[in-house]
Amino acid sequence: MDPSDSELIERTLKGDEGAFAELVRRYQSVVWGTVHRVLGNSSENEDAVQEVFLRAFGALGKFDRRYPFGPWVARIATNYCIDQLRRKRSRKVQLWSELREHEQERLLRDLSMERSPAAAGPGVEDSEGYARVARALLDGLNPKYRAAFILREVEDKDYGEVAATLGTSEVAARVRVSRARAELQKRFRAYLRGCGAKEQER
Amino acid sequence: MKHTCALLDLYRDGELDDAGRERFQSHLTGCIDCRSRLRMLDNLVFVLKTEKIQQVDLAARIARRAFEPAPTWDALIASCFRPKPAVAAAVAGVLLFAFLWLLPGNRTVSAYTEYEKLLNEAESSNLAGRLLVQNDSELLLQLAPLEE
Repeated sequence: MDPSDSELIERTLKGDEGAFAELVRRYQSVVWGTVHRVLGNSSENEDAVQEVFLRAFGALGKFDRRYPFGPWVARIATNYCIDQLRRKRSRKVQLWSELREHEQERLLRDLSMERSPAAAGPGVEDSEGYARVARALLDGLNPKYRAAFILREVEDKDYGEVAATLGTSEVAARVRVSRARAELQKRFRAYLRGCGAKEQER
Repeated sequence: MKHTCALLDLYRDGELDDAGRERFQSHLTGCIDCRSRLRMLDNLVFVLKTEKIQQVDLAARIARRAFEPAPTWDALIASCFRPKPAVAAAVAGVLLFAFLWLLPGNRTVSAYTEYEKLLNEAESSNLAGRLLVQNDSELLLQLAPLEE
């Protein structure tokens, strides 16, 4: 039988490197997901994942083992990513501008259509293109709004969990998610208008 | 109309009661703004949820880093005194330059200083200065009466 998280933490605190490796193995996909969604697809993500676990290791002695380890390490990851976004506002993945204009327009129009590409289900064609649109839209959001949106909408956390992860009140978490949704719609329309203007110029 | 638009977040979060949900759904048929926002959000969230995330197994590397012995104060202080090749080379370079610069007979800059001094002297004593360069390293100044 696999040892519990609590046992692994206990062994890690006693100096067992293998136990900590096992703990990282269990939760690294959670951290990879948070890092990727909040920071975008970057070559620096590997360093970010490593830094998150090293911070968790440094604070492991203070971790209250009555609570689950996963949300705790996810909280460290989210806060680390917000810090990184604040420090490096220029860190943006320039994937959007790499697309040709007609591709940009087609992808945007698809996203504004009812149940498309969501209706197509997993393995949807052009998933890479849609991911670029999504990234371009998210990149413009305030880091706090972006993190709140991802926690609520993508990771399906309730507002209590969003608030706990971001270290804020539930009301503030609701406001952040609501503003993120409104801002995304504004940016989405601006992109569509941009494509429309280019279409008229042609 | 706008009042109902404000319920979009509650509707999306599934927090409206049955009556509220029905009211919002009938509002949706007439409100293109709310409809397009919900469609865009549905699609965007779907894309983000199904996006493939490339990840590498870092468990062993992270654990090794975590258990690396932290540097002690003794080690930190000792590292300050440990010879560093780059610093040693820079210091040697500066010393060599200073030594060469101070060598007698190789002070091009001071020759110009002498020249300036003589020019000032010429100006104050109504003499004209004529510069003679005998070779690369030597500057001579001849002073002659200033022509009126």
